[in-house]
Amino acid sequence: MSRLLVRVLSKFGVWPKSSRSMVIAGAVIVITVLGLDIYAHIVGLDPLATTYQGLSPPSLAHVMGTDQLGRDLFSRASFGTTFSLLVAFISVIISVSVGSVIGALSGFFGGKIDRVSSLAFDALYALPPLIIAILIAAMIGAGIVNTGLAIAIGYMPQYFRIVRGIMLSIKERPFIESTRAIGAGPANLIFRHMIPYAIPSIIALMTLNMGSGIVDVSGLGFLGLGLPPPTPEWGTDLGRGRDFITSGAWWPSTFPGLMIVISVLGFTLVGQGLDEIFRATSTRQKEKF
Amino acid sequence: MRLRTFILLRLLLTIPMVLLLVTVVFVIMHILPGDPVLAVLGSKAASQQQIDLLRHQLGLDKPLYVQYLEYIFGLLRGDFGNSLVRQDPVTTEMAIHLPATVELTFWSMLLAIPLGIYSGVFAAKNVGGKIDASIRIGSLVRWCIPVFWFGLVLQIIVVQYGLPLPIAGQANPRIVGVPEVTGLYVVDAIWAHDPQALADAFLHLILPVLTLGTTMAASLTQIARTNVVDVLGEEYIKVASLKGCTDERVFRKHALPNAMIPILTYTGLQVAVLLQGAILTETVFSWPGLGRLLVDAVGYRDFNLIQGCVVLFALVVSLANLIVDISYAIVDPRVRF
Repeated sequence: MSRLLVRVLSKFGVWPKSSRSMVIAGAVIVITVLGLDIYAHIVGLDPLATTYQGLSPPSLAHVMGTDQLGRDLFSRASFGTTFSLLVAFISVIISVSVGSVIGALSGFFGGKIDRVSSLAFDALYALPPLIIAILIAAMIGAGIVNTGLAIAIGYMPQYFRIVRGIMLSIKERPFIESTRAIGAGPANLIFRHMIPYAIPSIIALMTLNMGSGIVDVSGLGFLGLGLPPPTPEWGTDLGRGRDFITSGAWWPSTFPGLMIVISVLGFTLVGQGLDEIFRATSTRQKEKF
Repeated sequence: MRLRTFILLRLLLTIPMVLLLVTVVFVIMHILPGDPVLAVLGSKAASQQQIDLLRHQLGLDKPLYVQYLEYIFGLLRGDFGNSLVRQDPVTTEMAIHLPATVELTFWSMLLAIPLGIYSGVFAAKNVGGKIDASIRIGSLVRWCIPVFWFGLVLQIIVVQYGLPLPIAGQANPRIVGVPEVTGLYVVDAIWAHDPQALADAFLHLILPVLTLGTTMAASLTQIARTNVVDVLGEEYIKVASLKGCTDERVFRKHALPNAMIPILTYTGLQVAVLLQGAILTETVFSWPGLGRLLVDAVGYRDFNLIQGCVVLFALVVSLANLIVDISYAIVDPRVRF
């Protein structure tokens, strides 16, 4: 893994300029958001502490104002990073491991396994991830792992398709055949020699899906299916804040949303930039052959 | 393959696809933990007798495969089961809420498709320039804004600046005196020749359609731009301009038609995203559509209604895919071979 990182970074100068600036801008945003989160933990901001001023507008004491229970929205927004990013991360990890392992097996072995799993993932692919997440969240309830699982299932087909496609395309290549000839078993072939081929595409997709995962976590929270209160979670917070819009309190539903947009933008920039870069390098490789 | 054979084959392929989709939904609903009976009765108050009785009434005491077959054959007859809370058929509930969603998604698409495709093509025409960069950044940022937050911000703007726009609901109850013919308020108002009701229906549509429409437009812009830029890099474009075509003609006659095919396909596939966005938009604006019905059903743990809504969404998505594939085959004969 670290060797791969070094290899990718050594090509940094060769990357197309626009994609490079996208990755850098996105990384800066993500690091800033994470920094805010770490700052909140170090300084010891308390997202649950109440003051006697409910719904007070942004001021020097409370940069983002307070919510209906008098809790500081800045502390809640910064602490919310932990939960949103954690749940999104869990969902990405679950979907990448299930989707790409089944995709690898399916592409490698072909035959009946391939047909059945392709059909199943195609059916799943037809349903929008949020609808699947609503369905599952309604069944198993909310929680950090449960919500992560609910979101993960809708994204599995994407990894399945990518990994299966790559497996099919490199299965007949000489280096795989020679590895097989010196006696490598299927597990060795798949995990040591073939999956590394798919890693760049998987990483780009994972980064993009971190962004969509954050949107889905807050979407579930907004619909009342997210992490249970009083957890500071952006979607739940802005959903609760919306009752006060008509009375003129705009801040409880504005700032958590801003945090969502900023962090999603960060991950999406990195993801799209990486995707363009890997695509450009893989076409260059193809031209060499 | 002739066009007729292709369409027939594609229609036949839809059947296992839909069956599989329904099965996936059924499996998720019945394998995962979570007991509809306890959810309806409330876990503490119910006695074992009540639980058994309700379980029997709902047919949940039968083996799983019997339940599955009964559900599938019910669907074939157009029977989605009964709502657990309201007791009336799920299809009736869905029929009441369908028109509002149709209205919302129709106007959103009417906004999104021209706006998204036009700005994407416009950006691609000026590729590398300032216009391209600003359209790219704009659509990327809009794409990162969650549907529900965009809607909330619109509501906040309307409230803070005192704009005369309704921020929730589908129509003003004081104005609606229009007889319901289709359930689509705009159509009904025109039917009844009632300009006031028509204006009211449109006013209520503005914010939700802006919310949902620009979401879809943002991703269409990105996809349209990428496809046109890709086509502009092809050899035949070079050939066309080398043989003396004007840039305008190359763009219009040679690049656009070829780029349009994948763009239109993608537009069809956006239906799934549109439905997902509709659920959130309807919740933000208290729009009485299917998305709202689904969210309410989740709130009451009305499992039959949840299952019905999701199956309906799945059917709509597969229908959209079917239409996309068939129109693809009509436009581009290469697909059929």
